[in-house]
Amino acid sequence: MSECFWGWSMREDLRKNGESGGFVSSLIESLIGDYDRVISVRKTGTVFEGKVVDLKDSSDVKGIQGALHSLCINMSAYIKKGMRTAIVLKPCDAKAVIENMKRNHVDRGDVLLIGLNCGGTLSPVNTMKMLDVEYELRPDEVVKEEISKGNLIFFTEDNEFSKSIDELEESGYGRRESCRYCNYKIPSVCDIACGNWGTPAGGKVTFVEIFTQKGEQAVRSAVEMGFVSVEAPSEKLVMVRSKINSSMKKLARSWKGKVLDPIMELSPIDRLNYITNTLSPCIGCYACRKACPVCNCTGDCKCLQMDPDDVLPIPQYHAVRLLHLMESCIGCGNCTDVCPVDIPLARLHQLFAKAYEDRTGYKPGMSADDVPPLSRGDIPEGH
Amino acid sequence: MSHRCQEVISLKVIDSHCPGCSILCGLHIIEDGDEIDIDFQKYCPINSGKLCKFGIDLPAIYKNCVETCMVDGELVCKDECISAASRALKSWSSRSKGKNGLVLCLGDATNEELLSLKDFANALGMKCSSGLGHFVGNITNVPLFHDFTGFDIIENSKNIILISLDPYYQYPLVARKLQMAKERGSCISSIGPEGSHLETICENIDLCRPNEVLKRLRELSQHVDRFSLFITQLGIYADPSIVAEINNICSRTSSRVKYLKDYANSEASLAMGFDNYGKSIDEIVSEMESGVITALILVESPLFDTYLDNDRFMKACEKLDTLVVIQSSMPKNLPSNAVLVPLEAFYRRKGTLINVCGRFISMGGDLEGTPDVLRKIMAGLSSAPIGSFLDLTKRSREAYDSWSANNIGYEIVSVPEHNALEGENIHLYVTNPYLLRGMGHQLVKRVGDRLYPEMLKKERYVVKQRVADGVVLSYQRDRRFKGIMGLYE
Ligand code: SF4
Ligand code: SF4
Ligand code: SF4
Repeated sequence: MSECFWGWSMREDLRKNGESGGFVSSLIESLIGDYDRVISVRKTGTVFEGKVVDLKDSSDVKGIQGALHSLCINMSAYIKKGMRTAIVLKPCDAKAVIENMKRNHVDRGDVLLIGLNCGGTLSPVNTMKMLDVEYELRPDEVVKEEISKGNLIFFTEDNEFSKSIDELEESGYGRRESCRYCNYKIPSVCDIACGNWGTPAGGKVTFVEIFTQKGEQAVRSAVEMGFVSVEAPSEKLVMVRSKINSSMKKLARSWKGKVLDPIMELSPIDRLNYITNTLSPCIGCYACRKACPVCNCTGDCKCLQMDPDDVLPIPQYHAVRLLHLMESCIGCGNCTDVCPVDIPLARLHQLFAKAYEDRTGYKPGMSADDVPPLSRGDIPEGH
Repeated sequence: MSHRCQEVISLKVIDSHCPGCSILCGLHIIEDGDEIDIDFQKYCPINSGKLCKFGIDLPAIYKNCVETCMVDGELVCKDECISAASRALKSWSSRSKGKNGLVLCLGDATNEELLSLKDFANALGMKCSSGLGHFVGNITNVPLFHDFTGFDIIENSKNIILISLDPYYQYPLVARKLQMAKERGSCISSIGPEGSHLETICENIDLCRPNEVLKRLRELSQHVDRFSLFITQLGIYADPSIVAEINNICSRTSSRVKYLKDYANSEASLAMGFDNYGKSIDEIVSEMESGVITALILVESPLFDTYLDNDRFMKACEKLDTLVVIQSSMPKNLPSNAVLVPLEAFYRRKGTLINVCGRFISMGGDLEGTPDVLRKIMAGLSSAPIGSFLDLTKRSREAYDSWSANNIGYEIVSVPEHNALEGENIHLYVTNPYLLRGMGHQLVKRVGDRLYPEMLKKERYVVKQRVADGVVLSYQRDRRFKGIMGLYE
């Protein structure tokens, strides 16, 4: 099922000041008390600083950050098995939750996934630097940021500043590398997906797409309790949303062509050299494992048992992870973000994952019922 | 909606900084019922969310919190241990007339805690030490602790010289800056023992034993200029002769130095004017042995497990008339005469810190920590009270502002005699947060219980021999480090 609406908050303050009419803030406010945990992100300083909060009452809703563009938090880590949780998350977080369902770390029945469409996220520190260099703005002047029509736009109280993402990305700024070639922009695995694509200019509404009965029930009850209001979107803007989604995917394909394809095209030995050289500065801190939303074995984890004394060209720790994640890496980029010696780990993992996907057609994070081909044992012949 | 969990466990996310070293990387601590975890704080300008292995393992460290109060080897309640501390200090004070007492805090304390300790020491006529006092005492007017250039200085220096530094193992966050510097065309050299991955960032690697570093430094001094940056470690086991020599080269050539420090708030010990004792840890231990120091208040300084000669430190402590230990992590060993007063974990405390780049930063906890403990001890002592926390924060800010405004230059100092040993020992002036917190095993334990005994046999991590000679020996878990061990065996 899929149904689309424009929605907005019935709370004056949230409609005026919240992202896109404050729909998400009011929706989650309506869920407080129904779920053990209602989890979102709250701004703690500038729009680049924030932390996860578990909302306990209406007063907690103020300052909730609708868009998570510049925070890059792995939201899936905040879902605890056995806790009924409503959570606001990005498409890659949602895919991570699906992967965790497959591993029995999350029960589908326990979670309400409120997804946010995502054209890509930005590393906060790099973005603050970019603001200074490219936009001549201070972080505390920015009240909102947005990616629209190929531009990265920052809004101050009374102005907006826009630059082409392509140009920014050529200069080393803009979206994180993994976001550039990510082609999952509308989180259809969630119960609800929200965003501003397909909304009228200045309309202060959120475009809401409902995918499940649970999502529908949550929105219906928020409407009935007077937290939000909804109306049917215009046909024309539904088309516009779909076009934006397609052009974002096209851009992602071209980035994949720039980043991953040249490595794929290397000879096997050169590719191996590329991988070993890239991994050579690794100091074995295990931050990449800690940050990975799908790599969360507990107890007797294999990669931690590898003899660190090994003399293989790719240390076994990484070899195990590259292979294990080949069928579950959802390309979130968290591993790259946290590596203290700046190894582009997501690039390496996606190299394996994309090759696996090309050969088997299997995409991780898309349905909790999917069984990976290696587990099914039915890899197509010749692969 | 349907059923809710019987018991809803609260989830709390606290803005925090890693206490592993003076970089003070930003991170979030997640309290989920009894469980503690970390999350990466990617917006923190200090570390962009990156952490070294110590930061990743913080949950294990925070789980080892002191939950017991002890007096003379007996478990007591908190009130009883506070009164025991009061009684012991009162009786010591009347007998010693306020002489020969020392408050030793290596740095894992907020500015407010340092100031409250200073006030407490003043009230009892005690002195304060950060373990770095010998640098202050012997090398005066040097901007040792006074470098406000932040880590950008690393990225922007044309000529970088690492002195006895293994950035990948000691300060990975600095290694990253060195990688960036290299990408921008800096020439990076290393003088000192072999390090892991040095070849990936250094154009020149001058391998030498620690006791040869001084000579190499002198030879090098002809080739440095104002675009050169030295990077080395300044911790309680650093070699004063090297520190002094680098200072003198900087003074003569207008080059600069970045000193990396081991403990969370080492930088602030100086800014807050905490250290007024001017002695090294070894000198302090000697004074405990000889009876010059008779009372010691040891705050967040896990020396029972980490002083290079544990036995010597334990025995020196047992000679003391009065020993009060205020600590948040449970020591493996504790002298029988100690009064152990528990302190909240670092992340639960509020207050301010100064990091190695001179940033004034706030902690996200809500407890006072040491000032609260001291106020209670003080109540039984009828001395001047410890000020309010607000007042302590105000004083911290004032002290920071005046310290940072005081831009002093490098002045020539005399170079102390170098005392590293020749011989069978491994001489490495290398420490990392694990070693300094007595956690050498941690690296090996990560291989799991099954392999751990095997690794113990195979690996020569934390070899502590002849430590009284003042050398820091090394550790390691992987083959890349064996070269270093081999070099000095
Ligand atoms: S390997 Fe990296 S990119 Fe892939 S899911 Fe894990 S953290 Fe995300
Ligand atoms: S985060 Fe980087 S340095 Fe740490 S284990 Fe992973 S690859 Fe190695
Ligand atoms: S020990 Fe130092 S470098 Fe490592 S995470 Fe902590 S503060 Fe950062």
